Amino acid sequence: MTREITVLPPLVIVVPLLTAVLLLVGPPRRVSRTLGLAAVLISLAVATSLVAVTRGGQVLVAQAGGWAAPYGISLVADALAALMVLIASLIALVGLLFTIAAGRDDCFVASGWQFLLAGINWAFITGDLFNLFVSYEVMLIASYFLLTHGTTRRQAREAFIYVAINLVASTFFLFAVALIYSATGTLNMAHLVERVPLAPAGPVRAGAALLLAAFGIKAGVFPLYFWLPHAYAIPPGGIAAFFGGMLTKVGVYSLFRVFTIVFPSEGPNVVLLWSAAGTMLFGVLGALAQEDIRRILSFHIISQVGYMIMGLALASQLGIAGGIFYVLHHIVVKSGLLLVGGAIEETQGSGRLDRLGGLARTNGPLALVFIICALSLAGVPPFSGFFAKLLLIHAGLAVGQRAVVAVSILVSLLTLMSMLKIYATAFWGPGTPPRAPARLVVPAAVLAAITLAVGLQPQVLYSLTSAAAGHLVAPAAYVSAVLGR
Amino acid sequence: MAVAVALLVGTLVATGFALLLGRSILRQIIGLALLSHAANVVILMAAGLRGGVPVIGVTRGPLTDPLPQALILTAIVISFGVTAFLLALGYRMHLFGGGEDGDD
Amino acid sequence: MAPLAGVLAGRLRMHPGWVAATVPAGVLLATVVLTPAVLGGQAVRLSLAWLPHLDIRYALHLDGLALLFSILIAGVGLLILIYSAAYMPRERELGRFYAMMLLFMGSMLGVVLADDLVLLYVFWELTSLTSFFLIGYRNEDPAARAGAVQAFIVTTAGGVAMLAGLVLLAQSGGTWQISELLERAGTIQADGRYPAILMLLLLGAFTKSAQVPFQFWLPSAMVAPTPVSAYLHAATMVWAGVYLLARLLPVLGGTPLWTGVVTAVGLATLLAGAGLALVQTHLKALLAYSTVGALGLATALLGRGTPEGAAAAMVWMLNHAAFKGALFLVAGIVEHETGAREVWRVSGLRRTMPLTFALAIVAVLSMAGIPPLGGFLSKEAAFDAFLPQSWPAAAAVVISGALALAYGARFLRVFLDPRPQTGRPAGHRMRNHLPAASPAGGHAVSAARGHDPSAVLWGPTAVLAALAVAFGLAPGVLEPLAALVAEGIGGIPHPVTLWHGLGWMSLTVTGLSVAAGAGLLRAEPLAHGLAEAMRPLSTGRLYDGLAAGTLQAARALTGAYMTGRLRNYLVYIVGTTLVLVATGLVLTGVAAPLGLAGLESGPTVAVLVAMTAAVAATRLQPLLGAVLALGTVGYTVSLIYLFLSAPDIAITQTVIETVSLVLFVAAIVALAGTDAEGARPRSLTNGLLALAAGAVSAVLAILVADVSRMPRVSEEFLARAAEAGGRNVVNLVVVDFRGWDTLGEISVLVIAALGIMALVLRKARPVRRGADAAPMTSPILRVVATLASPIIVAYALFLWATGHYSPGGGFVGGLMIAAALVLRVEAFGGGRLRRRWDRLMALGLLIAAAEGLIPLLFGRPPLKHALLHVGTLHVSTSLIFDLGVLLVVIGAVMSAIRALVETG
Repeated sequence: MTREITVLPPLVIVVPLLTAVLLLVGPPRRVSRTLGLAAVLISLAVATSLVAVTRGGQVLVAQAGGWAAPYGISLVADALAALMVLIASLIALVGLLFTIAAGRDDCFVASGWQFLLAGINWAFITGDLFNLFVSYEVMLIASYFLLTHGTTRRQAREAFIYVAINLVASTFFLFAVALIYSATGTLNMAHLVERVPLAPAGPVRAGAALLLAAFGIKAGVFPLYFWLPHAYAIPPGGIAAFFGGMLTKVGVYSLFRVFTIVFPSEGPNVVLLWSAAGTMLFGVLGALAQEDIRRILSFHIISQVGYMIMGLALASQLGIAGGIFYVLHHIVVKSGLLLVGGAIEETQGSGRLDRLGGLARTNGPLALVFIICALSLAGVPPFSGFFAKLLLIHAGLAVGQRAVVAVSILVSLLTLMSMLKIYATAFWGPGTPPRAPARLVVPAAVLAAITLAVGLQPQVLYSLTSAAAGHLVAPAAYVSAVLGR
Repeated sequence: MAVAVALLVGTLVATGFALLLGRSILRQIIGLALLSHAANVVILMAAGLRGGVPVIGVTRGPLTDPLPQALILTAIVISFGVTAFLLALGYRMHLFGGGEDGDD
Repeated sequence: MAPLAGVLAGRLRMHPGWVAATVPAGVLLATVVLTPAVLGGQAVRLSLAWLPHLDIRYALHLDGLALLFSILIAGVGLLILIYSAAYMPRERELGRFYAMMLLFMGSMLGVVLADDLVLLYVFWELTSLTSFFLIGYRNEDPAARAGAVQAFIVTTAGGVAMLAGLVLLAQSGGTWQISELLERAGTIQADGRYPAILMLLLLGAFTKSAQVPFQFWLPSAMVAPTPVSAYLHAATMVWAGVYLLARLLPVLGGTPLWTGVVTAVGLATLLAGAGLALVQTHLKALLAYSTVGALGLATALLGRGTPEGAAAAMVWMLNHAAFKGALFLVAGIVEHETGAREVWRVSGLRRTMPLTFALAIVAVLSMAGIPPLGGFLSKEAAFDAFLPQSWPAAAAVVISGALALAYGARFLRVFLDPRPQTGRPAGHRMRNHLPAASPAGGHAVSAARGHDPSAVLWGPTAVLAALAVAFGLAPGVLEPLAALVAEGIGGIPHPVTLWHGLGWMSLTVTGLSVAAGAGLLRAEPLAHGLAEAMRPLSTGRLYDGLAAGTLQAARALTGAYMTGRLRNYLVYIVGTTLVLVATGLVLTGVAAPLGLAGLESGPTVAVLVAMTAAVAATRLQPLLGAVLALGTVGYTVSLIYLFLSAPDIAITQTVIETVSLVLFVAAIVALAGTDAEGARPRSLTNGLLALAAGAVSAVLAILVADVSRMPRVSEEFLARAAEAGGRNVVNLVVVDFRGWDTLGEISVLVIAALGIMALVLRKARPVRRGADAAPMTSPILRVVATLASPIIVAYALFLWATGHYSPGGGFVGGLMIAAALVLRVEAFGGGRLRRRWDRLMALGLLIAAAEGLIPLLFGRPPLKHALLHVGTLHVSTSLIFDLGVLLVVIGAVMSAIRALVETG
């Protein structure tokens, strides 16, 4: 694998960051919209080329400040990071279009949006453990910001819970950094791959446990996810889609990155398996208990994260590839669903199931988008969710983990039940509710089209995720690209 | 010396959580601040509690590890920003009247 | 090709059913064209790559079994679509209906043609999906919604189990292609996973084909428009399970497990279905249960595992399609013309609808197995297939024939004259949600009404009835296809002859059937009694109970732990983390140095003070006290930093602690008068958890202090300090070596300031208030401010500029300048405050981020700094970066203060 110093990876951070700054000063609406969309499009374009370059196995590295690894901070784009940045930029674009269409992009939101994208991309690209912490903080505070401006007192209290729990998670993170640095003498992830096996086991184990907790809190894993339903019920549609699609996935990504290359496990990881099962189950049960579209979807985020963790826990290339596939599929579908929910709230004024009915009659396209994304979420063919589920079942049964596969199957059935409940109550039934304007539906429709396309032709996405998984299972290429040996 | 500082860390964490698990918003924020202090001290301990000020030419003898200090600087600033934000959030929660009670 | 066409044509939303009907016509044509090839023993195949990584293919395979089913699907489809052209009322969105029907047809064809297991599953689920939309077509009706959801869930429940089974099967057999699996049957059956595979697949087949105990969804599905009921739920979709059994028989069949389970379930279903049909009053429910029974018979025949059994099942299926399809269409006609859906609502229709009556009689006779109709032949075949080995099964066939006669007669009641005791005969409503009359109809017991329907309606019905006759009189049509299927099972050519002549055995059996059937007609009360007794066993009830129970449990569970209280959440989170960490430590068996050596007096005192202050913070009642305790902790920790050779941090920490204190005090003032802490007792759990966390942290801290022997990367920093142009290594790290961290740090500051502004101000734009209130009039203060602030600013700039050489830097400098500004505001009033400080912080971040971007534009790494030589001084461009930091700090702090001040 060749090592190339390249300008691409840092761009996905710097461009949104600069745009955020420019938008801060409050230019007129049209300018701010153009700038904001331009920044996201640039990020998307860069991400696409990153994916194109890394799909063959190449790893792109840039060193901040020009200082070589491992004492300088590395910005690394391998196949996985490239895919994540691509999807983040896509969701940022779609969500922003929706937010603009709903007229909710004041200068705070516009700037905060770019900051959030910058932070998210940062977390994907950085190859340094402490820099990961910093990127988390950028992302988190941007999310706090987007979450709280314009909220009521009750919502502020829910936001407080979100902030407080994340602060505790940050504390765990810092303790972990201290432990790991003390034991290994480095913070560079590639370097850690080399040093962890040789370092004293006690601090390393403790550090790994703390990182598991910190990332797990962010990812919404069982039993750490309590902040999620509170926080995600607050913001309006476009922001909720960005949050719900991406924020937890940063935690999931970190788990995938760290618990494969830095702390690998031989054979399936029992702790993670149990956690995955619990997450899937408790998440879907939580969804069944809700009566508001937004809250139902929030709990489903938790439940679906369980599937991703299951893929990671299986620790085989097939399992990890399946997990990554699931991550990407879910981001698309969940954001789509949240945008539909947002469209409903914007036009009907409420997402409560007992106040909705007959939407399919007046909102044909919206109903179609919803049912596509909903069925995809439940794993029904011919959408991407089916293949995502199939891969995990295949991987799980291949290593004999029957119990967790059984749980995943049961949960998918319950997920279907939940989605049908929404559809039968809100979209079918009597009533002629007002029609949502096309501009609110189009962003979600784009995502629905993607899930259908992937479902019909999964090969493209699967080959990408398989390549990404390959890097994680055998990190030699990653390490040599970063450290130059 | 390590033991003493470790005890400090432990105390800060314990008191921090004790406050955080309490009821009043402001005390919870104080608790979070204590937790941040604990984290910062722990990071410094990763420098090994030995060595002199890391300015070249000033200190005789071995210099202490500068990296943890840089990390702490960043962490201090970040938690300061978040704490200030939290205080503002607490204020916002109070804005429409009512108790300071953090729950229900 | 064929399924694709169906699926694609689903998109064509053109109105009249005629256009839609061209599709099945085309498919039928295609299959007819291909028939000779298949009959000659050569299968038609198509294989495209789909997911090459896992060797999953888009593979289609047309052999005898598939051909038979295809003809069924396309043929019946054609007839049904023609029928619906007249049946479906005009005012609905017909395009969607036909699109769904065609989509269904395509999927069903896909099921029977698929050679790849994954492809099979995809089409399988698609049939459930399209069925969902078709059942729920009239979605204002709650019964339709309920029926659709129930059917979807039950079939999907079986479906996902089946998926697991299919995966296991593929893993066991090493391939996803059915045609390849056929060769590996031996290995698969010997595999330890075989029982699991079989049971999972059977779950899928049984749910789809409404076998006991899953039969309850079928009657509920009868709320669908009649064409849907006739097509999906009588002739095609429900037979998918039978198809699966037939297709996988060579791979999985022949074992005792197969025979035992499949036959038992089939027979149970046969009897249950037929029995329940007898006590129905709703026309379609009656037919639905009858279909259940028919499916049971086919299943039992396949359970035998013999080629004769399979052939008999296929013949039975085709005959069933003919007479049952006809009966459904008759039921539809009755409803369409009279509005009645239940047996007792109308009567005497034979006078007004003689043609329909005639067709109905033909169909019923075939159903009851009366010679010389097709139904008779297929019952014979079934009987023969069971006979040598399995007397109970054969007996069941006879009984079912009797029952069929009885309920067939019941069905015909609408055509006959009313009974002497008019009024409603006792009808047994099993678990279904069916409404009694269509909206168009009345609801009193009415005498003969209605008239024979249009040709479009009775035409297809007549075709089906005619087929029922034809199959009986000219079985030669069916024989080659059945033989092909049998050969597929047995592996050797297996000709099938259906007409054995009227032997004494068949006559006796038929006679017995008829007699029993007639007897049953008289014994209705007995039947009702039996049904009542069985009601508690109804699995439909069980399903409803399960569904409701799950929701209930979900609510209870979630309500229990999602309390809305941070406290509870933290207990779970911190508790779990402690367990994880502690387990990790215990398992590794750590040993850490616990010596008290090296205790120095200065730092130790500071430590003790800090610890005391921390505890005080938890104990002190007044909020102000707690905050001051926090401040003490902060300052003491600063001191400790100083002792531990970290002056940069000490300075920064001190300044920040001061600013924090100010903010905290301001918060106390703003939230004046509210403090709920005092009166409530603290919980024991909280205390224990906090102590545990503290203990674990202390242990971790000791581990951290025991630095390993591995070389630190920071040694490079010391080595390259000159290259970076400085001597204060910490500052170098912050601004240069790890400048990327600092970039994030100042971004956080900016966003935090924005957040505070957004929170504290009511509107998006700051409101201009009388911020220039009367300044403090103290002249001393003004003098001090005038003198001190330039000095402070100068010193601050000095600190910034020399950060590389001695403790200082942009951050501290910025804080000091901000302090100076605040001093001036206090002294001279708020005029200064009204500047756009947020622009300043934006500028600062802009500078810093630009240092990230600009090098990129030249192909250099981001944030790469250059060293300039100014005389004897080395000046690094990182100074500019630090300037950015400085500006950010000033801007952020001032923005926040301004926001606070303007809100009062």
